[in-house]
Amino acid sequence: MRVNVRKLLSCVVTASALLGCGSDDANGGAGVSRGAVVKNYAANLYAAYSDSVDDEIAFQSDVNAFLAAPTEKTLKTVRDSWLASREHYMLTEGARFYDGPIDVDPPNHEALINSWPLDEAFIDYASKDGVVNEDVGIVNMPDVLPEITTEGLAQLNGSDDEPENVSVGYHAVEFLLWGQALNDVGPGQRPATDYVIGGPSKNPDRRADYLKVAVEGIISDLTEVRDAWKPTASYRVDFEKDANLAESLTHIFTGLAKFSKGELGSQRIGAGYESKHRHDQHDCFSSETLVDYERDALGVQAMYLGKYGDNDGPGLDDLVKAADPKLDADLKKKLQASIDAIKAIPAPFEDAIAGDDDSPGRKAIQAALTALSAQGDAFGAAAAAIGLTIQVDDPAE
Amino acid sequence: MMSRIGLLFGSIVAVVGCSGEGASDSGALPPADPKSGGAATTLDDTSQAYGNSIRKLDDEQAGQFSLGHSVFSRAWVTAPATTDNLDGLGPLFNARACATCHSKDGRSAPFNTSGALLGMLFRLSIPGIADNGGPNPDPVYGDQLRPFGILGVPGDGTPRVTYEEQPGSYGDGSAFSLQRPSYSIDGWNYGEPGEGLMISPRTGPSVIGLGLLEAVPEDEILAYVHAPDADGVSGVPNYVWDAEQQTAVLGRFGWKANQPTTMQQTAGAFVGDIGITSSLFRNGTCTPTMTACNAATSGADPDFELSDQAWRSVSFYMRSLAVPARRDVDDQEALRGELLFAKFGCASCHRETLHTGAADVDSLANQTIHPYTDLLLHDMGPDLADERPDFQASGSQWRTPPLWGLGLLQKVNQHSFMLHDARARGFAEAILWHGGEGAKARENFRLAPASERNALLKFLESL
Repeated sequence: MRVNVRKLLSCVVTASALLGCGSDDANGGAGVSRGAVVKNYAANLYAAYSDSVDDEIAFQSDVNAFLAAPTEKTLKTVRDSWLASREHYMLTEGARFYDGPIDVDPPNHEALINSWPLDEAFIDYASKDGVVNEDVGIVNMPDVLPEITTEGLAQLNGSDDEPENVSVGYHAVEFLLWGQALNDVGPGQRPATDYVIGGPSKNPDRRADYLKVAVEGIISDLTEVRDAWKPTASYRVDFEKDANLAESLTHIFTGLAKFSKGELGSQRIGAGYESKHRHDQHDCFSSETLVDYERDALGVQAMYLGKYGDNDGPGLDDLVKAADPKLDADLKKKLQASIDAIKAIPAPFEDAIAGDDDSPGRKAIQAALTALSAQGDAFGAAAAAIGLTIQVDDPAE
Repeated sequence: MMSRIGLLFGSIVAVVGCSGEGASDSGALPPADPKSGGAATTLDDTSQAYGNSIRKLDDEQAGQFSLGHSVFSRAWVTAPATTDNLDGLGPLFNARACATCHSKDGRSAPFNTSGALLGMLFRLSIPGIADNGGPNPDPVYGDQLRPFGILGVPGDGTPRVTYEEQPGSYGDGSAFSLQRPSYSIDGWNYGEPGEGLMISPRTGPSVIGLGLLEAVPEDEILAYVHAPDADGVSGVPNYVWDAEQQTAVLGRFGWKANQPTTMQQTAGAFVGDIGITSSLFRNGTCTPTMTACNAATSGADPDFELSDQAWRSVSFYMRSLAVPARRDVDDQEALRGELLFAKFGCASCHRETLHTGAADVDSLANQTIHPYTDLLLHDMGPDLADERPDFQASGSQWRTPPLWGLGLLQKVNQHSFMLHDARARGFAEAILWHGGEGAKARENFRLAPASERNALLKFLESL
């Protein structure tokens, strides 16, 4: 049977009206305008990227302090600093999947900053079945790259297969601080002596150079993303234009929905749950993955509420509440439920995914997946309530 | 407006036909069926249009889809790695991830922004037939050129392409130009290849709707096999090696229909393109003279690198990607274009409708679908020939590629390169390259008035 789409459309309009899609006016109805919400979102995101840059610069000085005097104690300090340095960036991750400054490809800053998995043996020594091969990786192959510099790595990466995506960013730094996680449970055990000149490990100076270059790369990429959200930057100006408000709000909702359901839920948590591979988790070297996931969920919640740090400005919630208070209340409940569900997963993640489906860890993960999926769908409903259309289902990448 | 329907699809199904109005204007062509993939259709028409799962997956299937999506998107890394389920890249490879060549589940541009090859590979063989009836691999390089290697392992060589513009004109005198490619390989890193080397360039196609095509019963495909008709169009099946069943079966995937199933296609691409072994293809792709390649650490735990679970999941993922709905279904020009598509003879091979039979997922089973293919081989003439036989397919035969979703290629992948080696810059050039069995249809298009050509192109853009 052929279906008449014109007929379908007339039905859809009816359906939309029933759902309360009628409020297409610029104001949410309760005094909060779309423009104010979009502006507040952009201001918060700019603040979060600014903090992320500052965090990385602070981390850089801790890295330098560690490299000046590498001991187990200073290694512990710089590892703690790495964890701390990622907090604000994690809070920005709800702003993904709409080809914004973080995602637009090229240059694909997201892949350069935060991509995972990491090609460990491309960077440094690696071991298999207890046997360490100290001769692999850029660090140990001066003939491949005589000097480890930003330019040198870029040139090497210019060899066309885009290995930069698997050899730089936060997780490259994580690997250089923790090393391979070879046990079923727990972080990697890289010794501080890997960085001691004249110590037991080969190429400590080159390893230090790689670490420094990786950190510089993160600062540079984060800075570019931050600057694209500057109040005077063209992307930001366009994003806030009256004529573009519906599109910008669609982007915002799309990011929140897809990040919740497709990325954080399905890809980051769900794939590990399905595969049961213990190191199928983003912070596989430090074993601190659950810290990330909680920050991610908190960031999504804050974006919906229009909050960042001390600022509590006009939020998406104000628009949704004006259109459909029940839907808004429901979404708020779901956002909190996801955070609570992630918090309830017993750490470490690699332990939680093991076992059968009735184990407390797997039940907790399943609950988080269900909560994030429901949250993603609820963003779709909320967007529809203010007259927008977003695609919630699985993102392509 | 179209995409708003997507969100409310569930409600629409319930209320279809609720409006008593909508009688067609007199003389107007009736609207087309928007559901190109039957129940496995998505109404997403955005840049993410190829990346949607079909509906009504149960919890277990949804989990499999998630895992498969991750396997499809993630980069493989050098072994050994902490992520031991994702290590074993190469040692020689074309890409680190499925998604490199099938970006956003579509087709990557053949070249990246710096002009390096991206979504394309080169099959290699020398004269003769392998034990399985397929192409005879090159003794030095195997059956595929891998331009890249892990650190310390040189790639096979660097493929190059140059284009020469070849002017032509439509029947009304207006001009067009086709770019004719020529290929070469720079710097064979492991010595000269075998005598009589044949090179076939292939781009990675989009991976939508594969579950539907796999569910079309063999009988229905074979029913379209026929001897040359008055227009010189025939239809020939490819029979190819099924490595699991260890016998020759009907081929239906790939540019030459040289793969029988999504499972085998997937395992083949993993070992050939990424260098990841599986339980189906346990041997890596280093040939005996490749010393560094053979010495590299394997990611096998213990026998192969791609777990059976990951293999099943990523195949399921591709089988479960929905087909984008046809758009502008009541646009009169596009509808007239479809009539011309049939009149010109395009539809003799690009068949509008096929049917699926039994399938493991409800939305794939017993559907009426509009892929615009017959899944059969056709001689496309010397201009498109790669001169490299592939099982029953001759050097000038190609499988009719499905056209569904192609109207969204520009939106999803930001290019409109078409045909097996991406030489065509858009629909018109793709048609104008048709030769052999497609020559008559091509001439009908080339000689038609501009209004008819535009209508036909508008139809294709609506798919």
